[in-house]
Amino acid sequence: MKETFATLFLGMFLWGSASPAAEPAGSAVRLTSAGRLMLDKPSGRVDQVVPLGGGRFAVRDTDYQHEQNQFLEIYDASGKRAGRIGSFGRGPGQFFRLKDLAWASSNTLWVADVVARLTRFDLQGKVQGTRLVLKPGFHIGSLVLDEPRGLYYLTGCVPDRVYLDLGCTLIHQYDLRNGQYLKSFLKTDPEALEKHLLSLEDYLIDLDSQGRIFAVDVPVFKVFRVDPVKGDVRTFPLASRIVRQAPELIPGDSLEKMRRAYEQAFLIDRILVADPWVLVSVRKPDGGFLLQVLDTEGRLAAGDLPSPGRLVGKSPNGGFYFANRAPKGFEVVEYRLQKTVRGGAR
Amino acid sequence: MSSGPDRSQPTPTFYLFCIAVLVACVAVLGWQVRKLHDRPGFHIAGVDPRGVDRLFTASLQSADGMSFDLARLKRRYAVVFVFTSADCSACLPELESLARISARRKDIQVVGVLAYGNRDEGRQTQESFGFKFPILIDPQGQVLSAMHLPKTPWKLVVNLPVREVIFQDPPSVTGEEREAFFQRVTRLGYF
Repeated sequence: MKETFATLFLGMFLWGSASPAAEPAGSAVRLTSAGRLMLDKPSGRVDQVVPLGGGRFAVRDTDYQHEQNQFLEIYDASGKRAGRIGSFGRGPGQFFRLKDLAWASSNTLWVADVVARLTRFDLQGKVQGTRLVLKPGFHIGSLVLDEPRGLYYLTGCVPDRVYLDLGCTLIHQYDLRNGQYLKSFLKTDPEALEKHLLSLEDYLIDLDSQGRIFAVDVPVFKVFRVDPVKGDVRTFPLASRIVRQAPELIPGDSLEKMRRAYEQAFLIDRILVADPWVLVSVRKPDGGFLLQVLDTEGRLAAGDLPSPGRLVGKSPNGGFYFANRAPKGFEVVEYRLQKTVRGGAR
Repeated sequence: MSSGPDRSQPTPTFYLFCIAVLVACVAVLGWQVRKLHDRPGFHIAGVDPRGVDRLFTASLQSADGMSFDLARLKRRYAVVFVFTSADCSACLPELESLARISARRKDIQVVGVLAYGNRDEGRQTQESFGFKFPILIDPQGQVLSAMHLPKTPWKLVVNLPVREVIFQDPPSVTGEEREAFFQRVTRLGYF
Protein backbone atom coordinates (compact mmCIF):
# COMPACT_ATOMS: atom_id res chain seq x y z
CA MET A 1 0.00 0.00 0.00
CA LYS A 2 2.82 2.33 1.00
CA GLU A 3 4.61 1.47 -2.24
CA THR A 4 1.48 2.22 -4.25
CA PHE A 5 1.17 5.67 -2.66
CA ALA A 6 4.87 6.33 -3.09
CA THR A 7 4.70 5.36 -6.77
CA LEU A 8 1.60 7.48 -7.27
CA PHE A 9 3.24 10.46 -5.52
CA LEU A 10 6.46 10.05 -7.50
CA GLY A 11 4.49 9.74 -10.71
CA MET A 12 2.52 12.91 -9.95
CA PHE A 13 5.74 14.73 -9.06
CA LEU A 14 7.45 13.69 -12.28
CA TRP A 15 4.39 14.56 -14.37
CA GLY A 16 4.23 17.94 -12.68
CA SER A 17 7.89 18.71 -13.22
CA ALA A 18 7.75 17.65 -16.84
CA SER A 19 4.80 19.95 -17.50
CA PRO A 20 5.70 23.54 -18.15
CA ALA A 21 4.87 26.00 -15.41
CA ALA A 22 2.85 28.09 -17.83
CA GLU A 23 -0.12 25.76 -17.94
CA PRO A 24 -2.94 26.38 -15.51
CA ALA A 25 -5.70 23.82 -15.15
CA GLY A 26 -8.09 23.87 -18.08
CA SER A 27 -5.59 25.25 -20.59
CA ALA A 28 -5.85 23.83 -24.07
CA VAL A 29 -2.24 24.73 -24.81
CA ARG A 30 1.12 24.77 -23.12
CA LEU A 31 4.42 26.44 -23.82
CA THR A 32 7.42 24.23 -24.42
CA SER A 33 10.94 25.51 -24.70
CA ALA A 34 12.59 25.10 -28.09
CA GLY A 35 15.94 26.81 -27.64
CA ARG A 36 17.69 29.62 -25.90
CA LEU A 37 20.25 32.30 -26.61
CA MET A 38 22.26 34.52 -24.29
CA LEU A 39 22.64 38.02 -25.66
CA ASP A 40 25.88 39.75 -24.79
CA LYS A 41 24.02 42.86 -23.70
CA PRO A 42 25.01 43.92 -20.20
CA SER A 43 22.70 46.96 -20.04
CA GLY A 44 19.62 48.44 -21.59
CA ARG A 45 16.44 46.63 -22.52
CA VAL A 46 15.16 44.08 -24.98
CA ASP A 47 11.87 45.31 -26.37
CA GLN A 48 11.75 43.41 -29.61
CA VAL A 49 13.69 40.60 -31.26
CA VAL A 50 13.50 40.12 -35.02
CA PRO A 51 15.23 37.16 -36.69
CA LEU A 52 17.22 38.26 -39.75
CA GLY A 53 18.33 35.00 -41.29
CA GLY A 54 21.69 33.32 -40.89
CA GLY A 55 21.03 33.06 -37.18
CA ARG A 56 21.30 36.81 -36.68
CA PHE A 57 18.85 38.95 -34.75
CA ALA A 58 17.91 42.60 -34.61
CA VAL A 59 17.13 43.83 -31.13
CA ARG A 60 15.17 46.98 -30.41
CA ASP A 61 16.13 48.67 -27.16
CA THR A 62 13.85 51.62 -26.54
CA ASP A 63 13.86 53.59 -23.35
CA TYR A 64 11.31 56.34 -23.83
CA GLN A 65 12.21 57.82 -20.42
CA HIS A 66 15.75 58.45 -21.66
CA GLU A 67 15.32 58.87 -25.38
CA GLN A 68 19.03 59.16 -26.13
CA ASN A 69 19.39 55.58 -24.90
CA GLN A 70 17.59 53.99 -27.82
CA PHE A 71 19.47 51.43 -29.82
CA LEU A 72 18.95 49.17 -32.74
CA GLU A 73 21.43 46.32 -32.42
CA ILE A 74 22.41 43.36 -34.54
CA TYR A 75 23.48 40.12 -32.82
CA ASP A 76 25.03 37.08 -34.40
CA ALA A 77 23.93 33.48 -33.81
CA SER A 78 26.15 33.19 -30.74
CA GLY A 79 24.53 36.22 -29.11
CA LYS A 80 27.50 38.51 -29.67
CA ARG A 81 26.73 42.05 -30.75
CA ALA A 82 27.72 42.56 -34.38
CA GLY A 83 26.83 46.23 -34.67
CA ARG A 84 24.47 49.10 -34.08
CA ILE A 85 22.27 50.80 -36.66
CA GLY A 86 21.16 54.43 -36.72
CA SER A 87 21.17 56.80 -33.79
CA PHE A 88 18.87 59.01 -31.78
CA GLY A 89 17.68 62.10 -33.63
CA ARG A 90 15.02 63.51 -35.88
CA GLY A 91 16.73 63.37 -39.25
CA PRO A 92 16.69 60.68 -41.92
CA GLY A 93 18.60 57.60 -40.75
CA GLN A 94 17.92 58.54 -37.15
CA PHE A 95 15.09 57.67 -34.82
CA PHE A 96 13.29 59.72 -32.25
CA ARG A 97 11.20 56.98 -30.71
CA LEU A 98 11.64 53.53 -32.17
CA LYS A 99 8.28 51.84 -32.35
CA ASP A 100 8.60 48.69 -34.45
CA LEU A 101 10.88 46.66 -36.69
CA ALA A 102 10.26 44.32 -39.59
CA TRP A 103 12.65 42.29 -41.71
CA ALA A 104 11.99 42.20 -45.45
CA SER A 105 13.08 39.52 -47.90
CA SER A 106 15.05 42.22 -49.75
CA ASN A 107 17.48 42.04 -46.80
CA THR A 108 16.39 45.38 -45.44
CA LEU A 109 15.34 46.18 -41.94
CA TRP A 110 12.26 48.40 -41.80
CA VAL A 111 12.23 50.73 -38.84
CA ALA A 112 9.12 52.61 -37.79
CA ASP A 113 9.70 55.80 -35.84
CA VAL A 114 6.91 57.53 -33.96
CA VAL A 115 7.66 60.73 -35.87
CA ALA A 116 5.85 59.39 -38.92
CA ARG A 117 8.95 58.09 -40.68
CA LEU A 118 9.78 54.66 -42.04
CA THR A 119 13.46 53.99 -42.65
CA ARG A 120 14.91 51.02 -44.49
CA PHE A 121 18.41 50.05 -43.41
CA ASP A 122 20.74 47.39 -44.72
CA LEU A 123 22.59 45.37 -42.12
CA GLN A 124 25.64 47.60 -42.40
CA GLY A 125 23.45 50.43 -41.16
CA LYS A 126 23.29 52.23 -44.50
CA VAL A 127 20.00 53.98 -45.18
CA GLN A 128 18.31 52.42 -48.20
CA GLY A 129 15.40 54.84 -48.16
CA THR A 130 13.03 56.80 -46.00
CA ARG A 131 9.33 57.38 -46.35
CA LEU A 132 7.19 59.87 -44.54
CA VAL A 133 3.67 59.08 -43.49
CA LEU A 134 1.90 62.16 -44.72
CA LYS A 135 -1.58 61.69 -46.03
CA PRO A 136 -3.12 60.61 -43.83
CA GLY A 137 -0.54 61.70 -41.31
CA PHE A 138 -0.25 60.12 -37.89
CA HIS A 139 2.24 59.01 -35.31
CA ILE A 140 3.17 55.42 -35.97
CA GLY A 141 2.26 52.76 -33.42
CA SER A 142 3.37 49.59 -35.15
CA LEU A 143 4.40 48.17 -38.50
CA VAL A 144 3.87 44.83 -40.18
CA LEU A 145 4.86 43.70 -43.68
CA ASP A 146 2.66 41.45 -45.79
CA GLU A 147 5.10 40.61 -48.55
CA PRO A 148 3.08 37.76 -50.15
CA ARG A 149 0.31 40.26 -50.92
CA GLY A 150 2.61 43.23 -51.63
CA LEU A 151 1.27 45.28 -48.73
CA TYR A 152 2.32 46.75 -45.46
CA TYR A 153 0.31 48.07 -42.56
CA LEU A 154 0.89 50.81 -40.02
CA THR A 155 -1.15 51.74 -37.01
CA GLY A 156 -1.78 55.24 -35.75
CA CYS A 157 -4.62 57.49 -34.77
CA VAL A 158 -6.08 59.36 -37.74
CA PRO A 159 -8.83 61.52 -36.25
CA ASP A 160 -12.31 61.10 -37.65
CA ARG A 161 -13.37 64.54 -36.40
CA VAL A 162 -10.20 66.63 -36.11
CA TYR A 163 -9.47 65.78 -32.47
CA LEU A 164 -7.81 62.50 -31.48
CA ASP A 165 -9.97 61.99 -28.39
CA LEU A 166 -13.16 61.95 -30.45
CA GLY A 167 -12.19 58.73 -32.20
CA CYS A 168 -9.83 57.62 -34.91
CA THR A 169 -9.27 55.15 -37.69
CA LEU A 170 -6.39 52.99 -36.56
CA ILE A 171 -4.97 50.63 -39.21
CA HIS A 172 -3.65 51.90 -42.54
CA GLN A 173 -2.77 49.83 -45.59
CA TYR A 174 0.00 50.73 -48.06
CA ASP A 175 1.39 49.37 -51.29
CA LEU A 176 4.75 47.75 -50.58
CA ARG A 177 6.23 48.70 -53.98
CA ASN A 178 5.69 52.44 -53.96
CA GLY A 179 4.47 53.24 -50.47
CA GLN A 180 1.14 54.51 -51.77
CA TYR A 181 -1.59 54.76 -49.16
CA LEU A 182 -4.50 52.45 -50.01
CA LYS A 183 -7.13 52.40 -47.25
CA SER A 184 -7.76 52.38 -43.51
CA PHE A 185 -9.63 50.09 -41.16
CA LEU A 186 -10.89 49.80 -37.59
CA LYS A 187 -12.34 52.61 -35.51
CA THR A 188 -11.44 53.34 -31.91
CA ASP A 189 -13.33 51.02 -29.58
CA PRO A 190 -16.27 52.75 -27.81
CA GLU A 191 -14.87 51.68 -24.44
CA ALA A 192 -11.71 53.73 -25.04
CA LEU A 193 -13.80 56.76 -25.99
CA GLU A 194 -16.19 56.47 -23.05
CA LYS A 195 -13.34 56.11 -20.55
CA HIS A 196 -11.15 58.80 -22.20
CA LEU A 197 -8.25 56.36 -22.49
CA LEU A 198 -6.39 58.26 -25.22
CA SER A 199 -3.30 58.84 -23.09
CA LEU A 200 -2.94 55.09 -22.50
CA GLU A 201 -3.68 53.99 -26.04
CA ASP A 202 -1.26 52.35 -28.42
CA TYR A 203 -2.24 50.19 -31.35
CA LEU A 204 -0.44 46.90 -32.03
CA ILE A 205 -0.97 44.49 -34.90
CA ASP A 206 0.19 41.27 -36.47
CA LEU A 207 -0.96 39.18 -39.43
CA ASP A 208 -1.94 35.57 -39.89
CA SER A 209 -1.01 33.52 -42.94
CA GLN A 210 -4.20 34.59 -44.73
CA GLY A 211 -3.28 38.25 -44.42
CA ARG A 212 -5.90 38.97 -41.76
CA ILE A 213 -4.93 41.62 -39.26
CA PHE A 214 -5.08 40.97 -35.52
CA ALA A 215 -5.08 44.22 -33.60
CA VAL A 216 -5.25 45.46 -30.04
CA ASP A 217 -5.66 48.86 -28.45
CA VAL A 218 -3.51 48.32 -25.38
CA PRO A 219 -5.85 49.40 -22.53
CA VAL A 220 -8.86 47.63 -24.09
CA PHE A 221 -9.05 43.93 -23.30
CA LYS A 222 -10.20 42.81 -26.73
CA VAL A 223 -8.64 41.47 -29.91
CA PHE A 224 -9.92 42.81 -33.23
CA ARG A 225 -9.62 40.71 -36.36
CA VAL A 226 -9.81 42.69 -39.59
CA ASP A 227 -10.19 41.11 -42.99
CA PRO A 228 -8.60 43.70 -45.28
CA VAL A 229 -10.20 42.21 -48.40
CA LYS A 230 -13.79 42.22 -47.16
CA GLY A 231 -13.24 45.03 -44.68
CA ASP A 232 -15.16 43.25 -41.94
CA VAL A 233 -14.06 43.47 -38.32
CA ARG A 234 -14.66 40.85 -35.64
CA THR A 235 -14.14 41.55 -31.98
CA PHE A 236 -12.96 38.86 -29.56
CA PRO A 237 -13.18 39.86 -25.89
CA LEU A 238 -10.42 38.42 -23.71
CA ALA A 239 -11.40 36.70 -20.48
CA SER A 240 -9.29 36.99 -17.37
CA ARG A 241 -9.71 36.56 -13.63
CA ILE A 242 -6.67 38.69 -12.93
CA VAL A 243 -6.80 41.63 -15.31
CA ARG A 244 -8.60 44.74 -14.09
CA GLN A 245 -10.09 46.90 -16.80
CA ALA A 246 -8.56 50.34 -17.16
CA PRO A 247 -10.36 52.92 -15.02
CA GLU A 248 -12.03 55.95 -16.52
CA LEU A 249 -9.58 58.83 -16.92
CA ILE A 250 -10.44 62.47 -16.52
CA PRO A 251 -9.49 64.56 -19.55
CA GLY A 252 -7.12 67.36 -18.62
CA ASP A 253 -5.83 65.59 -15.53
CA SER A 254 -2.23 66.31 -14.55
CA LEU A 255 0.61 64.45 -16.20
CA GLU A 256 1.45 62.94 -12.83
CA LYS A 257 -2.01 61.40 -12.53
CA MET A 258 -1.83 60.13 -16.09
CA ARG A 259 1.58 58.59 -15.40
CA ARG A 260 0.21 56.87 -12.30
CA ALA A 261 -2.76 55.59 -14.27
CA TYR A 262 -0.34 54.22 -16.87
CA GLU A 263 1.75 52.46 -14.24
CA GLN A 264 -1.25 50.96 -12.47
CA ALA A 265 -3.07 49.75 -15.56
CA PHE A 266 -3.02 46.29 -17.06
CA LEU A 267 -1.90 47.03 -20.61
CA ILE A 268 -1.48 44.72 -23.55
CA ASP A 269 2.23 44.65 -24.31
CA ARG A 270 2.28 42.72 -27.57
CA ILE A 271 0.15 40.63 -29.89
CA LEU A 272 1.79 38.04 -32.14
CA VAL A 273 0.24 35.55 -34.50
CA ALA A 274 1.76 32.21 -35.47
CA ASP A 275 -0.95 30.11 -37.09
CA PRO A 276 -3.08 28.76 -35.58
CA TRP A 277 -2.34 30.75 -32.43
CA VAL A 278 -2.73 34.36 -31.42
CA LEU A 279 -0.64 35.19 -28.38
CA VAL A 280 -1.46 38.28 -26.36
CA SER A 281 0.92 39.43 -23.64
CA VAL A 282 -0.45 41.64 -20.86
CA ARG A 283 1.80 43.73 -18.64
CA LYS A 284 0.87 43.49 -14.97
CA PRO A 285 1.18 46.67 -12.88
CA ASP A 286 3.21 44.86 -10.21
CA GLY A 287 5.69 43.48 -12.77
CA GLY A 288 5.62 40.44 -14.96
CA PHE A 289 3.34 39.45 -17.76
CA LEU A 290 0.29 37.29 -18.39
CA LEU A 291 -0.49 35.48 -21.60
CA GLN A 292 -3.82 35.00 -23.30
CA VAL A 293 -3.92 32.45 -26.11
CA LEU A 294 -6.59 32.44 -28.81
CA ASP A 295 -6.86 30.56 -32.03
CA THR A 296 -7.25 32.62 -35.19
CA GLU A 297 -11.03 32.16 -35.01
CA GLY A 298 -11.04 33.98 -31.68
CA ARG A 299 -11.63 30.98 -29.41
CA LEU A 300 -9.81 31.31 -26.12
CA ALA A 301 -7.37 28.42 -25.71
CA ALA A 302 -5.78 29.61 -22.49
CA GLY A 303 -6.19 32.61 -20.27
CA ASP A 304 -3.94 34.07 -17.61
CA LEU A 305 -0.93 31.90 -18.40
CA PRO A 306 2.07 33.11 -16.43
CA SER A 307 4.54 34.35 -19.01
CA PRO A 308 8.09 32.94 -19.00
CA GLY A 309 9.43 36.44 -19.71
CA ARG A 310 8.58 39.38 -21.85
CA LEU A 311 7.13 38.41 -25.22
CA VAL A 312 9.47 40.09 -27.70
CA GLY A 313 9.10 38.40 -31.07
CA LYS A 314 8.34 35.33 -33.08
CA SER A 315 10.59 32.89 -34.86
CA PRO A 316 10.29 31.93 -38.53
CA ASN A 317 9.16 28.42 -37.56
CA GLY A 318 6.17 29.37 -35.46
CA GLY A 319 7.79 29.87 -32.06
CA PHE A 320 7.69 32.88 -29.79
CA TYR A 321 10.65 34.63 -28.18
CA PHE A 322 10.59 35.61 -24.52
CA ALA A 323 13.33 37.75 -22.98
CA ASN A 324 14.57 37.89 -19.42
CA ARG A 325 17.36 39.83 -17.84
CA ALA A 326 20.23 37.54 -16.80
CA PRO A 327 23.34 38.31 -14.73
CA LYS A 328 25.56 38.95 -17.77
CA GLY A 329 23.05 40.00 -20.37
CA PHE A 330 19.67 38.92 -21.59
CA GLU A 331 18.38 35.43 -22.08
CA VAL A 332 16.08 34.97 -25.03
CA VAL A 333 14.15 31.70 -25.02
CA GLU A 334 12.08 30.37 -27.87
CA TYR A 335 8.86 28.65 -26.85
CA ARG A 336 6.30 26.83 -28.94
CA LEU A 337 2.64 26.49 -28.18
CA GLN A 338 1.39 22.93 -28.16
CA LYS A 339 -2.05 21.50 -27.61
CA THR A 340 -2.43 19.68 -24.34
CA VAL A 341 -3.85 16.16 -24.29
CA ARG A 342 -6.94 17.12 -22.32
CA GLY A 343 -7.59 20.38 -24.17
CA GLY A 344 -6.78 21.21 -27.73
CA ALA A 345 -7.94 23.92 -30.00
CA ARG A 346 -11.49 23.46 -31.03
CA MET B 1 -45.90 133.64 -55.53
CA SER B 2 -42.10 132.97 -55.89
CA SER B 3 -40.99 130.35 -58.45
CA GLY B 4 -37.21 130.14 -57.39
CA PRO B 5 -35.26 126.88 -56.64
CA ASP B 6 -36.60 124.68 -53.84
CA ARG B 7 -33.90 124.99 -51.11
CA SER B 8 -35.33 122.10 -49.04
CA GLN B 9 -34.11 119.55 -51.71
CA PRO B 10 -30.30 118.70 -51.86
CA THR B 11 -28.71 119.63 -55.13
CA PRO B 12 -26.72 117.15 -57.31
CA THR B 13 -23.56 119.05 -56.30
CA PHE B 14 -24.25 118.18 -52.69
CA TYR B 15 -24.55 114.46 -53.58
CA LEU B 16 -21.28 114.58 -55.48
CA PHE B 17 -19.58 116.30 -52.54
CA CYS B 18 -20.82 113.59 -50.12
CA ILE B 19 -19.61 110.81 -52.40
CA ALA B 20 -16.20 112.50 -52.70
CA VAL B 21 -15.89 112.78 -48.90
CA LEU B 22 -16.87 109.14 -48.51
CA VAL B 23 -14.30 107.97 -51.07
CA ALA B 24 -11.62 110.06 -49.37
CA CYS B 25 -12.47 108.52 -45.97
CA VAL B 26 -12.35 105.01 -47.37
CA ALA B 27 -9.00 105.72 -49.04
CA VAL B 28 -7.49 107.07 -45.84
CA LEU B 29 -8.86 104.12 -43.85
CA GLY B 30 -7.47 101.65 -46.38
CA TRP B 31 -4.08 103.32 -46.32
CA GLN B 32 -4.00 103.15 -42.53
CA VAL B 33 -5.06 99.51 -42.41
CA ARG B 34 -2.42 98.64 -44.96
CA LYS B 35 0.20 100.44 -42.92
CA LEU B 36 -0.97 98.52 -39.89
CA HIS B 37 -0.69 95.21 -41.74
CA ASP B 38 2.83 96.01 -42.90
CA ARG B 39 4.02 97.32 -39.58
CA PRO B 40 6.85 95.03 -38.54
CA GLY B 41 6.40 93.25 -35.27
CA PHE B 42 2.77 94.14 -34.92
CA HIS B 43 1.62 90.56 -34.62
CA ILE B 44 4.90 88.91 -33.66
CA ALA B 45 4.78 86.56 -30.70
CA GLY B 46 7.58 84.11 -30.30
CA VAL B 47 9.66 84.00 -33.42
CA ASP B 48 13.27 85.10 -33.03
CA PRO B 49 14.02 87.80 -35.64
CA ARG B 50 17.59 86.50 -35.99
CA GLY B 51 16.08 83.20 -37.02
CA VAL B 52 14.12 84.96 -39.72
CA ASP B 53 17.44 86.39 -40.94
CA ARG B 54 18.70 82.82 -41.27
CA LEU B 55 15.91 82.23 -43.75
CA PHE B 56 17.55 84.79 -46.02
CA THR B 57 21.18 83.94 -45.36
CA ALA B 58 21.14 80.13 -45.14
CA SER B 59 21.77 78.44 -48.44
CA LEU B 60 18.95 75.96 -48.50
CA GLN B 61 18.30 73.62 -51.37
CA SER B 62 14.85 72.88 -52.62
CA ALA B 63 13.49 69.36 -52.91
CA ASP B 64 14.26 69.28 -56.63
CA GLY B 65 17.94 69.99 -55.91
CA MET B 66 17.98 73.64 -57.01
CA SER B 67 19.31 76.30 -54.70
CA PHE B 68 16.64 78.75 -53.65
CA ASP B 69 17.45 82.25 -52.44
CA LEU B 70 14.59 83.95 -50.65
CA ALA B 71 16.55 87.22 -50.65
CA ARG B 72 16.49 87.42 -54.45
CA LEU B 73 12.74 87.13 -54.80
CA LYS B 74 11.13 90.15 -56.42
CA ARG B 75 7.77 89.60 -54.75
CA ARG B 76 6.42 91.66 -51.93
CA TYR B 77 5.31 88.93 -49.54
CA ALA B 78 6.26 85.37 -48.71
CA VAL B 79 4.36 82.83 -46.66
CA VAL B 80 6.90 80.51 -45.03
CA PHE B 81 5.57 77.24 -43.70
CA VAL B 82 8.08 75.64 -41.32
CA PHE B 83 7.41 72.01 -40.58
CA THR B 84 9.03 68.68 -39.76
CA SER B 85 8.15 65.18 -40.77
CA ALA B 86 6.89 64.63 -37.24
CA ASP B 87 4.15 67.22 -37.35
CA CYS B 88 0.65 66.36 -36.34
CA SER B 89 -1.67 64.77 -38.81
CA ALA B 90 -4.30 67.44 -38.34
CA CYS B 91 -1.80 70.21 -39.09
CA LEU B 92 -0.23 69.12 -42.35
CA PRO B 93 -3.43 69.66 -44.39
CA GLU B 94 -2.45 73.32 -44.04
CA LEU B 95 -0.22 72.65 -47.01
CA GLU B 96 -3.37 72.40 -49.11
CA SER B 97 -4.57 75.84 -48.07
CA LEU B 98 -1.11 77.21 -48.82
CA ALA B 99 -1.42 75.78 -52.32
CA ARG B 100 -4.69 77.74 -52.63
CA ILE B 101 -2.89 80.91 -51.57
CA SER B 102 -0.16 80.24 -54.09
CA ALA B 103 -2.76 79.85 -56.84
CA ARG B 104 -4.81 82.90 -55.80
CA ARG B 105 -2.03 85.46 -55.27
CA LYS B 106 0.84 85.32 -57.72
CA ASP B 107 2.56 88.16 -55.90
CA ILE B 108 2.86 86.07 -52.74
CA GLN B 109 5.59 83.45 -52.71
CA VAL B 110 4.71 80.37 -50.68
CA VAL B 111 7.69 78.38 -49.42
CA GLY B 112 7.83 75.28 -47.26
CA VAL B 113 10.83 74.66 -45.03
CA LEU B 114 11.17 70.98 -44.11
CA ALA B 115 13.35 70.65 -41.03
CA TYR B 116 15.10 67.35 -40.27
CA GLY B 117 14.26 66.03 -43.71
CA ASN B 118 15.98 65.21 -46.98
CA ARG B 119 15.15 65.96 -50.63
CA ASP B 120 13.43 62.64 -51.05
CA GLU B 121 11.09 63.43 -48.18
CA GLY B 122 10.49 66.92 -49.58
CA ARG B 123 9.42 65.41 -52.90
CA GLN B 124 7.17 62.94 -51.08
CA THR B 125 5.49 65.87 -49.36
CA GLN B 126 4.91 67.67 -52.66
CA GLU B 127 3.51 64.55 -54.29
CA SER B 128 1.27 63.65 -51.36
CA PHE B 129 -0.37 67.06 -51.19
CA GLY B 130 -0.11 67.86 -54.90
CA PHE B 131 1.39 71.33 -54.93
CA LYS B 132 4.20 72.99 -56.85
CA PHE B 133 5.58 75.64 -54.53
CA PRO B 134 9.14 74.95 -53.39
CA ILE B 135 10.04 72.94 -50.32
CA LEU B 136 13.41 73.96 -48.90
CA ILE B 137 15.34 71.35 -46.98
CA ASP B 138 16.80 72.20 -43.59
CA PRO B 139 18.47 68.82 -42.93
CA GLN B 140 19.95 69.57 -39.53
CA GLY B 141 17.09 71.80 -38.41
CA GLN B 142 19.44 74.81 -38.16
CA VAL B 143 16.97 77.39 -39.45
CA LEU B 144 14.25 75.90 -37.29
CA SER B 145 16.48 76.05 -34.21
CA ALA B 146 17.50 79.64 -34.92
CA MET B 147 13.87 80.74 -35.05
CA HIS B 148 13.03 79.30 -31.62
CA LEU B 149 9.52 78.53 -32.71
CA PRO B 150 7.26 77.33 -29.90
CA LYS B 151 6.04 74.45 -32.04
CA THR B 152 5.71 73.27 -35.60
CA PRO B 153 4.23 73.57 -38.12
CA TRP B 154 4.43 77.35 -37.95
CA LYS B 155 3.52 79.96 -40.53
CA LEU B 156 5.32 83.23 -41.05
CA VAL B 157 4.13 85.97 -43.38
CA VAL B 158 7.17 87.97 -44.37
CA ASN B 159 7.47 91.36 -45.98
CA LEU B 160 10.27 90.47 -48.39
CA PRO B 161 11.74 93.91 -49.26
CA VAL B 162 12.32 94.73 -45.60
CA ARG B 163 12.78 91.09 -44.47
CA GLU B 164 10.43 91.39 -41.57
CA VAL B 165 7.66 89.20 -40.28
CA ILE B 166 4.27 90.88 -40.69
CA PHE B 167 2.37 88.24 -38.81
CA GLN B 168 2.64 84.61 -37.90
CA ASP B 169 0.33 81.81 -37.03
CA PRO B 170 0.56 78.63 -34.95
CA PRO B 171 -0.68 75.30 -36.32
CA SER B 172 -4.23 75.45 -37.60
CA VAL B 173 -6.07 72.41 -36.37
CA THR B 174 -9.59 73.00 -37.66
CA GLY B 175 -10.80 73.91 -41.11
CA GLU B 176 -12.11 77.23 -39.73
CA GLU B 177 -8.63 78.19 -38.52
CA ARG B 178 -7.10 77.30 -41.86
CA GLU B 179 -9.74 79.34 -43.67
CA ALA B 180 -9.16 82.34 -41.40
CA PHE B 181 -5.45 82.28 -42.24
CA PHE B 182 -6.22 81.91 -45.94
CA GLN B 183 -8.55 84.93 -45.86
CA ARG B 184 -6.07 87.01 -43.93
CA VAL B 185 -3.20 86.28 -46.31
CA THR B 186 -5.19 86.71 -49.51
CA ARG B 187 -6.28 90.18 -48.30
CA LEU B 188 -2.65 91.23 -47.82
CA GLY B 189 -1.90 94.53 -49.51
CA TYR B 190 -5.60 95.32 -49.95
CA PHE B 191 -7.73 96.75 -47.31
